[in-house]
Amino acid sequence: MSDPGTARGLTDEDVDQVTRLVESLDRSGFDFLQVELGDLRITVGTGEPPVPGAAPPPPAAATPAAVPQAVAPARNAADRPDTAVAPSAAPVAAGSVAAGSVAAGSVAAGSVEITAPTMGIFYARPEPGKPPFVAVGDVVEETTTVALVEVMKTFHSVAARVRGTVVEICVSDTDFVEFGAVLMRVSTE
Amino acid sequence: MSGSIRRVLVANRGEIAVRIVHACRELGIETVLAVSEADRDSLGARLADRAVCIGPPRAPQSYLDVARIVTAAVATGCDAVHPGYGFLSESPALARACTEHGLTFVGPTAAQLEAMGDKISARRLARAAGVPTLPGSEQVRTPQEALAVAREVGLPLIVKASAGGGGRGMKVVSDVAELPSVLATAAAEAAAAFGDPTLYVERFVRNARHVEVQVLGDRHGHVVHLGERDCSLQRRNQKVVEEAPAPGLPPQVRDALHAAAVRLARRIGYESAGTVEFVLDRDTGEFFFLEMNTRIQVEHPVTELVTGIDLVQQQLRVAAGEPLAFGQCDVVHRGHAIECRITAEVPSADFRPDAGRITAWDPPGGPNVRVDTHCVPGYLVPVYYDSLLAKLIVYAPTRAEAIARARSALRRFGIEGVRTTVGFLDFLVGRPEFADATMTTHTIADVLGEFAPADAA
Repeated sequence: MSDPGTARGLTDEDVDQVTRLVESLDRSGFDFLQVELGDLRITVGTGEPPVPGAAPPPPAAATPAAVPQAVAPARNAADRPDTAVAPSAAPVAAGSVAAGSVAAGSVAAGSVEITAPTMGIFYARPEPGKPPFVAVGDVVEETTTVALVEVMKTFHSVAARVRGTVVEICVSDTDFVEFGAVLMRVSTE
Repeated sequence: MSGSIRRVLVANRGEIAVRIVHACRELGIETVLAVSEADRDSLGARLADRAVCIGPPRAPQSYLDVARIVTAAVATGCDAVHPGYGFLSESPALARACTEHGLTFVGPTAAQLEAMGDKISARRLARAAGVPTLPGSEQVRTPQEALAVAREVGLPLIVKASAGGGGRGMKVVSDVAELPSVLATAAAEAAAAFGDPTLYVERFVRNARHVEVQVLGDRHGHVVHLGERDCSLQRRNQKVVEEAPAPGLPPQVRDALHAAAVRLARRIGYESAGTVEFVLDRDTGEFFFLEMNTRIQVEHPVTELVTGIDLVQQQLRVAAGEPLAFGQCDVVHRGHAIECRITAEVPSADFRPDAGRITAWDPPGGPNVRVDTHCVPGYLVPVYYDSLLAKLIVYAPTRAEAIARARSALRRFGIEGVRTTVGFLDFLVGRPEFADATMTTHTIADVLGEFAPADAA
């Protein structure tokens, strides 16, 4: 509707980034977050603002100790498309989607999830009749293509983006997958 | 309802997604709601039979992506797509893609969307249908052309983007000397915002009312109107309060408006719900065509309340191929309805949007009070979309009673966690300009300084 970005020196892209940070901050357990880029400093939060001044607050200050680290997880969360992962296979019933926003702790037990980078049709093999890209037990590198997802004749290749062994393939060839659906699990041990 | 629509993909979010899901349910149609990641746990997602996450929060990768919408519809076994308003609702590309994939687009044809989407083409069609248009130009390419138009129609002028509409891409010029620079910036902005720098110029009406006529057409050549709405209370060309009927219109002006809207809709064989917008000059009493909106509009409920006709269900019936079940003389207008748009904005801070978690949500009840919303206690208002939280719509036998009811309902509306325009709306509908129906499209700008928001201390 209206333009939120009237501050001079900020591009629309900057404003977008900031609004994303605000949203991820709200979803996180942190009270505020401070970003410094050159002479630009942005502080967002809900409680008392951090002590103004460039240096991190002394340990005795009321500011929580978690502040300096707050930037990294919040940003990380903003960049991750898979913070709310739906069980895959068939499109999910509304009821279970509602419970969706689980924390992004996909590293449990040394297993990492590969999620759908887009909604579409999941293809396990490059062409019909060809062997699948990967099978359970295969070792993958970050750049290994593990699947294709098709949206109206446009094919997106899915890279493993992790090194390890495929321990589970969660969807079947030609299944419809939602954005962020878990396609596979890879053990990094 | 005829069996040709069984399952609808709702390609929208917010209150209109909820509204469409309800309309479908009453007609026995299943719904699949396309949601972005930010809307996974929305009220609409819970109410729909299914929800499908089509992409990340930002609209270009979700609600504005034709390929994903169509893929989701086909993959979930839908036979129709309802686009709501905004997003892809007036996209010929979506209408066409639906047809190509055997889906029914709940709206007019791609050709009708195109004809009215291009505002220069719409102006031409209106003239051809004998609908008065503002003195002005076709496409303006050079400052010289614009100056020639200025000499012909006088000042002030309004420069508009042909690909704009809905109050976007417009600039008023009151001094000829400004014209060349305004044209240059307007063209650049139109190119950036709409991908098309084409401009045209019209006479600017200083003391204007915004009056629009709801039309409804089917595939069998029937077109009726459902009366008019007044949407003059606008802030920066965005509607804030709407009502039906438009108060104080001379009967012959009202009839002429209705007839003009129906003529235009008939001329293009319009099917589905649509709105023909007019500017009404307070000083001369003349009216002129502004544009035609080829979708359901935000303010459709005021028309529903005074006619008793469910416009979203009518859209679905028309899309299913049914002929309209009523003629013009069956449409009865009774009483008065007012809609207030409640947005998450901070009036004391120049209406900047406010996102965050709604901690308390307590909408008013009572007879003839309707609240169209997607909000619930605990709902997180996302930063990615527009700030509309709810539409409060009231109905009463007379306009004065409707105003009293609107104010009473606004004062009972309890919202905590985000700042809203509720207090501002109470101020606005309590203004004498509104009470005596002398408001214009600049009334809000005129009276804003007198508003003392409770949160300004």
